[in-house]
Amino acid sequence: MLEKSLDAIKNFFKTRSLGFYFTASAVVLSLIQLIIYAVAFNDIMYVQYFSTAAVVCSVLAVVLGIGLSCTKWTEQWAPAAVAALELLACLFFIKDGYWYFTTQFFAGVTWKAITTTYYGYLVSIVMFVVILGISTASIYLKQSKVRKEDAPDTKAEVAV
Amino acid sequence: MNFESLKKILHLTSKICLTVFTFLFALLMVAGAILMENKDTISQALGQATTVTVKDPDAQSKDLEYYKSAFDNLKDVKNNGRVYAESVVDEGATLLKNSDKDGKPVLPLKSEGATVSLFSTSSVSPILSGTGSGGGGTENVSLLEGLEDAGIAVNKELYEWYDGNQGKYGRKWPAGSGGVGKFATVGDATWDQLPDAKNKKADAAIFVLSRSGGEGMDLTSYNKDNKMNVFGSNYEVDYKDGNYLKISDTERDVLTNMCRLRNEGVFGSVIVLMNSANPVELEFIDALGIDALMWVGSYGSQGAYAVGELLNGNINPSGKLSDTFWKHHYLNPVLANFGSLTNGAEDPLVNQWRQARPAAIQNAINAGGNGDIHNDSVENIVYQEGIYMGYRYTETRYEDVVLNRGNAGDFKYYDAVSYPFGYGLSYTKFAYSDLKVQYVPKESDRNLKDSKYVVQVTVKNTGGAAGKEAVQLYLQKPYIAGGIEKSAVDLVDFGKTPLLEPGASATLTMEVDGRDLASYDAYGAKGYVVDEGTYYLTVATDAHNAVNNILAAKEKTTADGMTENGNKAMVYSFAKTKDVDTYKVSTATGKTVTNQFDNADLKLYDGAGDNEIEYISRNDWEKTVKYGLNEDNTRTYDRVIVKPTEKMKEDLDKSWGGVGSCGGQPTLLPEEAKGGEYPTFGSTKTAYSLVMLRAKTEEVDDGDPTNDEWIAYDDPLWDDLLDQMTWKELVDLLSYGQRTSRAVASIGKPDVIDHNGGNGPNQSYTVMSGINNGLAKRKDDPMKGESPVVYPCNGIVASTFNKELCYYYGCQWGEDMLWAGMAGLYGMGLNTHRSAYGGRNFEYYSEDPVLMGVIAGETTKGMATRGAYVYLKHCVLNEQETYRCGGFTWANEQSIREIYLRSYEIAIADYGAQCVMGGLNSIGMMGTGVQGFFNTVLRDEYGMTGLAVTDTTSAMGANFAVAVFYGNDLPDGGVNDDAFDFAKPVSEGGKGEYGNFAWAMRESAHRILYTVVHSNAMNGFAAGDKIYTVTPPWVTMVTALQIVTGILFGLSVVALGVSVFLNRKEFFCGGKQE
Repeated sequence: MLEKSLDAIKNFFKTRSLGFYFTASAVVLSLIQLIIYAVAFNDIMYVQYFSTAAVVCSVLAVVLGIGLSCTKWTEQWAPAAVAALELLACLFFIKDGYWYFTTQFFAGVTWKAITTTYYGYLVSIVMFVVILGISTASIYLKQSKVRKEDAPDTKAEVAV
Repeated sequence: MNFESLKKILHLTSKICLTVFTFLFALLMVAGAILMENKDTISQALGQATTVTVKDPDAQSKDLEYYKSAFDNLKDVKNNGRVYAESVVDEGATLLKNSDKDGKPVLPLKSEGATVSLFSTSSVSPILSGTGSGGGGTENVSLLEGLEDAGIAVNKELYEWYDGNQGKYGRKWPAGSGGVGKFATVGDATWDQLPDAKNKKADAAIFVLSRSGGEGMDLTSYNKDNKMNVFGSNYEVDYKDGNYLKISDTERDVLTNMCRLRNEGVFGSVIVLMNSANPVELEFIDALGIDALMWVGSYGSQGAYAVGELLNGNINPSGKLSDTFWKHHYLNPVLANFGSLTNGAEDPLVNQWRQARPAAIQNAINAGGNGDIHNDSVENIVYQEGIYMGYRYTETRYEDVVLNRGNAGDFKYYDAVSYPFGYGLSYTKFAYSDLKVQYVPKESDRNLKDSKYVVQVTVKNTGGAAGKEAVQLYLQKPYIAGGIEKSAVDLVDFGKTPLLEPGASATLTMEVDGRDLASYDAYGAKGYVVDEGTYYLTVATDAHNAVNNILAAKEKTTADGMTENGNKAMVYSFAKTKDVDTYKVSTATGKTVTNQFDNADLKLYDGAGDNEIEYISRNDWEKTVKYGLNEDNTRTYDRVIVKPTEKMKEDLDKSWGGVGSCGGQPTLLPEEAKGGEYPTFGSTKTAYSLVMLRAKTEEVDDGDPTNDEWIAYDDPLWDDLLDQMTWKELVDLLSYGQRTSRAVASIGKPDVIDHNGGNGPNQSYTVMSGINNGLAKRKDDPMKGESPVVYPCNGIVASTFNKELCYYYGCQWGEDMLWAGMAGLYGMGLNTHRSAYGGRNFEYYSEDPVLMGVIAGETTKGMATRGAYVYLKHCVLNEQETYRCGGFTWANEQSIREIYLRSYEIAIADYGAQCVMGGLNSIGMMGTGVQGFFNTVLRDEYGMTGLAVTDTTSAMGANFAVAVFYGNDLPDGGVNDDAFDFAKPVSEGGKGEYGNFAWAMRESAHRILYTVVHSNAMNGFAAGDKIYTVTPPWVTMVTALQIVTGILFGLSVVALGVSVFLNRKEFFCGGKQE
């Protein structure tokens, strides 16, 4: 049983293409971003800018990213789902936090203003950009390798 | 191309399109939401209207200019502005020292052909105004032009050297409000760095001594030992010269060498022009042997002309100091509790306060969009000096030294003071005689609000030049040891002669109201009390002279320690018996007067806990006076410490409405806000237009609308008009007020512009062009893109001591506003010069409330003739910039009423000023808007009928919705859409839980409408005009973009759907990958 499972897992990763790993990276980064965001904006000074909607979207992105990638029928939808939900999360993050930026950069975008920006914002911005970039790119990449034995009209499985 | 290829292309294209349009559509949706949240601000910035007015064709033949200009074009308006900007410097510039040389004063310079050398980089870049919202424009007459215009030849080589080296040696100061970064360097070149032109022979060498000031930061005193700016730790400091209000080593070096050259005969004299609204310590004047000193303040765009005329004697100086000019600031006890009072952010006390803030406030501190609140609402500023501030301290302690009472110690008057309040020299001399005082009881005239003393004095010009003399009337009330604190003298009135030729004389009449004899007793009678004892009235040249006159009347002389002998012929004394009843009610409104500031006094506040305070008392000077600075400029920290208590925390939560948000919907409201019947909304019984409630006669008949018979504030017609408003209109009106009050279309209220600044209008004549209704725009004047001239600091306006001039000065401000389409002015600044280090002192008038109130009142009266109203600001106890946003201010009620609110009282009760702007600070724990005094004192006692606006809403230490309940009518900013939802009636018919609150909202609307209808905002409006709300073009554009990208997004989805359908086998049957 265990051997069978290990083989299946082995086979699963063996048949994954670059797109899958981009999607997986996006999911992992989304999870990290989610944790950092939740911790950073749990601070009493910044909780006002916390966006519940952004967190919900990020959680959905992680769940759907993993869930959709697991089956051959849905895997090609995984990066799109991650990208769309992370985009929404990012926009909620902006909408609920833009006042902070108007204050922080009131006197202009200076090096001092940038370096004193709260880490929660800096990390979130960078992470959102990276996640959106990776997941969007993944939409255009194959999630699985095309196996030689799979004829174009073959309904055979790719992998399970 | 086969079908498979087409399918692939379709699939790829639809994926790309969907990706792109998803991003664009989502971005535009969010951006649109953010833009709509700030719709009014953006519309104003873009100059796009949110309403249009359709004129009643039948009314166009009528004269609808309720407030008229005296000018036909903007050029003449500006020229008149230049005249008045110069006139106030002509009469406000104060000659403080004028030594004799060869038996003749060094000033004026010879009338023709005088030569001067100008020293300091400030000679080419003098201070004209200040920075922040009160700052002026860029129009500038250079000192070179000013002096040459007066026929004075300037050493050009030296002047041009300074001009060319400004970048290298010039002073530095941050440009804007709440400046960030490095600031406050005096700069300047040392003597050795100056070119040889410095040695050129001249009749006089003039040193221009300038200091800047501005919003958001107090002036610095840099403590070199702990590298700390002791008066403003909020800001980074790069001031290496020590105390900003001392002359720097470089300046001392240059002045010393100037005096050396004078002694060598190169210069005829050395003159200092002090060009600063914040007086510099003057110990150096006598120490270095400076021949003459003239204070010219920050003198506006035209001041240079005045300086030239004053120096050459074409104009005889007649200004009198509006503040005490200290020899050593460290001897001013106010500084013990001024500015930054902790050792910075890491101070344990700061942390205690930070921890004490309710969580909701912590949340809101940032939500307000102003990080200052975070830093500021942890600090306490205690007015420990009580009433003994400025001359009230120096003169009272001096008198007690002479009278040997009150443990006055070894206070030496001239160690502390260089020139007293009210002091000023002239090129001629004046003699006072024939003092007459007549008591006029209230009963003698039924129109008289109060009994009064009418004082007359004859002033004769006994010198050789024509000149004006400002005469001051002071009162001394009897001090009973341990009783109500009393200053040795209080200025009670003043007057100024017309220009008197040599030998000519004039008789001036001044008045003292009966209530001026009373003092506020917060601990006993809780009202104004006239104590039993002897009262002295004296006509004097300055505050010190006043005390000396009174001491002379008490048979004291220099033998008793007086600095000079006084003139008892200028003193009138009379006895009074104790009276605690007469002033139990307000003389302005008849309403009861009682304590309203117990929560600001640590002696009376029920949440004070273990905190204690001992105010300065003349009963024991040595014990109660503390100093904030040591002589070496280090901070003593001998201050009043306030630690948080549970009650303070509760009150803080109340101030912030339980949600800690300035603009959010409160959850914690006063009990009285609940219950009660709702007012009527959306009534169709009447269809009044606002302009119909302007006056009883609709048409202008005598050319002066101030003479029209107004429809009274409490006239039932107002109820009908207010009934017409819907709940939504009411909420819209109260929700946004950033330099405007919104239009209410259904009742014909137009958009109205209220704008800066603190010492005169400083906006373009087409400011907020989208809603501008000014003459410049309507007449399409070719100069409409310009701004008014730069008006000088208000301190120098006060120094004119000229009521009539200030009235006409106000008329000119009114003209500027009439042409600029501004109905309301966020000014004038009416905070007190509590300390010379106050950042915004250039916007404020004086350390004395009577001088401030009268000068501001006259200016207000002048402005009203052009339909302009003023928001006297920043009400109240907002005398410092450090910790101004929510900092907790503590003071006793006597000092609040007799000093800090007294100027507001005079301007409102005596001169009809209508509006105020609240301070950003808190009074005790309560933000100014929720403390309650707007209603209980300003309206009930002083009779204010107009509206109260917050200062920048997001920076105030209170919740705006709660503030509305306490009489604060408009936010200077916006609040959340749902801020008033808790009080929303269940139906327009008027049912709900917060009827009383809804009435408070309606009363705010009433005050706004009443103020607006009596302003130039109604010019051109007829009863039949219709106002319609329109969508500004930018909103249409954003909406269109959202729709277009939405459609493209939708099409992309459809295209992808089709593609997926066509490739369904691959997609749904585990087919091949692309």
